[in-house]
Amino acid sequence: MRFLALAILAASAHAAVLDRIAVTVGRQVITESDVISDLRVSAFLDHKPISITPVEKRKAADRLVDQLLILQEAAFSRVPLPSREDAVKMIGPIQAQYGDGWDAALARYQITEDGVIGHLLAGLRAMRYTELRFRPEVQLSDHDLRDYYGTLAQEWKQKGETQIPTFESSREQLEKLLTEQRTSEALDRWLGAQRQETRIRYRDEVFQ
Amino acid sequence: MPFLLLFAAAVCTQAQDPAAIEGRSIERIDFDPPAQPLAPADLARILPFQEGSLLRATDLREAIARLYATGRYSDISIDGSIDQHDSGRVILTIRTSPTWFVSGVTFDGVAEPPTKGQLLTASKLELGTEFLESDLPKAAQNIEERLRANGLYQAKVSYHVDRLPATEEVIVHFKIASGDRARFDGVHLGGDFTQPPQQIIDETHWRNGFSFIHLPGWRQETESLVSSGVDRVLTHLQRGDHLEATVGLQDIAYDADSNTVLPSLLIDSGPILQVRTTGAKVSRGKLRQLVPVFEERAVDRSLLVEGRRNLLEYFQSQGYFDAVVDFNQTPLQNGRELIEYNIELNDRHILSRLDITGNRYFDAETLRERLEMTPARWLRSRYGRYSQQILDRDIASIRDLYQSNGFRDADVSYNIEDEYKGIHGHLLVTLKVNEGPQWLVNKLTIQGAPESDLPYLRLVLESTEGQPFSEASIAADRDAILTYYFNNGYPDANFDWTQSPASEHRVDLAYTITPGKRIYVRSVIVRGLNTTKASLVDDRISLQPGDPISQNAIAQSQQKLYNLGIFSSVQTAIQNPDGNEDDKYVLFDVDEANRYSFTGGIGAQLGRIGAGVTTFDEPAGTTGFVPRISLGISRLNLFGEGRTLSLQTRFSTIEQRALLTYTAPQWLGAENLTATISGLFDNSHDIRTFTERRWETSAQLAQRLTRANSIQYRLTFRRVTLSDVVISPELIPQLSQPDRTGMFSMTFIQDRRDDPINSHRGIYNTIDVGIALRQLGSQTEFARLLARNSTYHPIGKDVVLARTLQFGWIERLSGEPQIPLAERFFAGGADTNRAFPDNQAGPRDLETGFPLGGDALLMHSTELRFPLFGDNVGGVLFWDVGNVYSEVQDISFRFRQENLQDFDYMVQAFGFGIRYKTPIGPIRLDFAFSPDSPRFYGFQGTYDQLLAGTGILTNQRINIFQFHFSLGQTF
Repeated sequence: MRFLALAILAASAHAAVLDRIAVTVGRQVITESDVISDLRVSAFLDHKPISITPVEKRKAADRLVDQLLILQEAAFSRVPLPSREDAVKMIGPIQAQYGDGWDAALARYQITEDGVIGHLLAGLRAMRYTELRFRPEVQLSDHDLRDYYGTLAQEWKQKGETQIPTFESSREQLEKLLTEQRTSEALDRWLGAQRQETRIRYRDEVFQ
Repeated sequence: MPFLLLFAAAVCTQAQDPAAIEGRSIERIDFDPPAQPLAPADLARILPFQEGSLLRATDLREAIARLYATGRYSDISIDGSIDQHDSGRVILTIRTSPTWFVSGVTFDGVAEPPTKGQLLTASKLELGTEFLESDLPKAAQNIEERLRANGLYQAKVSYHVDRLPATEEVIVHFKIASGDRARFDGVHLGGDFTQPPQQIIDETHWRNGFSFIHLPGWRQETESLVSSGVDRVLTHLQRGDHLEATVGLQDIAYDADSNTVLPSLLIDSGPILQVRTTGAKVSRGKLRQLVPVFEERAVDRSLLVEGRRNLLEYFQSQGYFDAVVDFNQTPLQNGRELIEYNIELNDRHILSRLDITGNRYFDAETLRERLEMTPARWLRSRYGRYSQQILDRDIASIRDLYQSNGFRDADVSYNIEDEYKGIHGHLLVTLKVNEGPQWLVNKLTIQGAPESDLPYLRLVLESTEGQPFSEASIAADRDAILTYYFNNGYPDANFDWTQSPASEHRVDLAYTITPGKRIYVRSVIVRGLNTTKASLVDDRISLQPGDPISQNAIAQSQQKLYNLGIFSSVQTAIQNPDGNEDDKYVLFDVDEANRYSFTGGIGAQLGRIGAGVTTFDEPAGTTGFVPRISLGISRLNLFGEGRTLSLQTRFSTIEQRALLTYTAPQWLGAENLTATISGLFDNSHDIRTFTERRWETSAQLAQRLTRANSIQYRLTFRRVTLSDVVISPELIPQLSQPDRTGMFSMTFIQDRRDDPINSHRGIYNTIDVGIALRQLGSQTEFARLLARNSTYHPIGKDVVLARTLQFGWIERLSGEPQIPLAERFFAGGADTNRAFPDNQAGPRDLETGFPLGGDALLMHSTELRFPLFGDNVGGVLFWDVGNVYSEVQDISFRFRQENLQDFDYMVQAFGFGIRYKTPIGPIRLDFAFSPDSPRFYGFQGTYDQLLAGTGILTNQRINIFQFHFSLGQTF
């Protein structure tokens, strides 16, 4: 691969683009290399083949924009966020999944261990901030839980489930699920508002 | 190889994997285009690599991020190629597009409304921020929407931009072809309503006409008219108890052929909702004020609860401290819903006394000033002001005061004693303060600030060693520190603080200041000047290239430009506000105001101004009413130098006046100088003795010495002719000849009043001295002095003792044997001595009884101003004493008139006045009683009878009762 790229550089009549702006979020940039790296690491973590299509690149860019908006807000709020050590701890189980093929897999996906740690750390921080910022806002009443249970029970019935748990027996699980759902909704609302307020520009040429 | 070339072409649209050249040496770094917004030295500093260094993919990303963070680039990419001559090395080409910044937006052809400001907001083009060509179509679309909302459906918006490459500025010009504004052509009503459609349509006020007078045709559509029309319909429905009514503007159908619009309103009247009280009467107006369902136009439990709370507080403030208020909501039946507030008043109380105990650090008066609770006072507050909510707020207020002064553990409790002094219904409220220990700052350390800043910072900080420790003081310190840094070029300054216990009730404080990057002024850019001279604006901008960017200096410069009175808007911005740069442009975008302004007014004068001008009856005047009209036109920004030429006129049956003024504010660039040249024509009969025709020209230079002190230098030349003179024929040759006066005068003004409109404390002094000389064109040479000293003394919280002394002296030096009538002092009336009608004080003609004015004046007024009813009506007790005297040596302190030819004595007036507070000053009504008002000889008859000596001499007297109606305090 490296030989191929060198050959391209050497052989092409014009210079090749090494990196460029993909998206700007205020005065922050997400470069094309950030987007591709995100796709590679995500594929690596999911044990999936790499797919760098314009559509995939756009999805990755959207994810990175959201992440950037959350991390910017987190930096202002001064809440305690996970450290690099926390991300390093997560590498172990992933390494175990690849076993002896860890280094080969990294090479195959053209990523580094440092890149994976960085990817995990950004995700961890965004998740922690989301929990701290939005979860306390979620206040569930008994009425909310019963409504949610009613909706789920209806869905189960439609799917032909016969063993539908009682409300009381599934209360704790319902509370957890509904809290997550409401937290996610609150995050989406906030991100929507942030995207309106922040000047975000996608560079079309990167996503063609 | 052909395969490789083909493959290379295929992948060139996507960034090349930089890992492929990771670790290779950089042969050269090129920029495309070669001329970059940043200087080569800055680029070298910013880039994380240089020629010869080893290339790393992360460095490429970092280079892009750093360059973009400067704000000077709108797009960046980095290309790489292998040097054909040395295959191991890489040539980098950094391709950039510069950022352009909005530095002005103009609108040509705007037919207001909408205003330029509204269009600017609609365009979403912010001064100083990045300009993108792609934003313009959307901006034009937004502007067209705004125009259509104002009836300009045929409007076409085009635009072009001017680019100024040297400063990377873009000025966006929108050209608007407005077309004709559409008119309403009826209203389509839909939904559920019971009122007659015509009545609803009339409520919109979209038809031609005023209020209830309807004229044929319809008005032109504007956004505010549409919105106010919908609102009026809603209010109309609510007046009929449809409190939950909704009125929606469904759409506005436009007919291009007739250029008319047909709005469709969807009305839902909702149920008739009646709100009433039982157990106590509450007026409908008061109920609307207290129960928020009327204002919020919605009914829900929280609003009804708030209404209950408001009613309870209202009754408690009326003395029903034990009142109980509840409500019930009767469900909807037959389209009607009832909300009933049940009020149980119980006994009425009086807050007789309010005591504060336990306070040592603050005296009781200091604490009382902060309380809403007020013991009962005669007239003003019959039952006192008290309720549980007020008590709670007062307790919180005292606690906050103590805590902000270091008494962290301060607590306030209360005790209410009913049957105070054994009187049923009388309350004694005692607030018991438990101050606790005062916490003090033991040591303050300041970290992060440059050593040179520390002396100033320590000077402005409150929480220094030995001072009370409180979070309020720390918040004040934080504001002081950040303001200092923001004003000294550190826009990102930050402040943090920590505390640690030192000894008993003492803490060590540590302030950490992070000033951040200091930013300087690269240059100041002014845009928007069309007729105004640039030097006029430049002289008023205090920022210079190389100065730290100071928000304070920007705001002050903006204020100075506004003070010129020639700009309708002055917008300021920092170009590239978020960019990471050492210096930036500061932008001032001005919008020149219309060059002409017109004013007009209708008024009336009411007082003892009546009776004819050619008869000798009623020398003291009769009650009269004179309507008057005033018109004015001003030409602003004359010669582009910020000067104003204005003509103000006033017409009434007793006065015709025209004043032409040329004003040069901030004369010769000095902020504190204002030069004025004026010409006046005045034909007036405000002095009953004569009609005066005055031609006057003057040149004045006003200089503000300090905030309180100012001085005016004035050269005046006037010619006054008198007519309709109603004095003894033998006096006419002496007193009523045409008079020419040339005078140089100076006025010193010292104003230390807390509020010039309604003063409570302070001092106001003026001294006016002038000399009329033959060399200046005077027929009579004289010197003139008029001095005033007023002081205002608060007594307690609401009462003010005010007093004023006026002394005037005219000394004839040469020329005519007597000071001409027009130059004499005439006084008396609403603003001087209320024993007299206007200008009726002093010596009088011994035959006709008309006032002659005098060469000296001494008057003193004392007023006790106090609240009367509620917060807006006040009362005044006054004592005016003094007079206008023949000569300064005739000033006498006698209170008794010796005979009917004696006018040189002190005339007194005792009286009572009422003041009603308004935003433009109190409306004033004074009733005066003067036990020693002057008696004098009057004349009954015609002028011929006066000449023939056949008229009747009568004994007359200035009425001992006078009333005066005016605006503003007496002094």
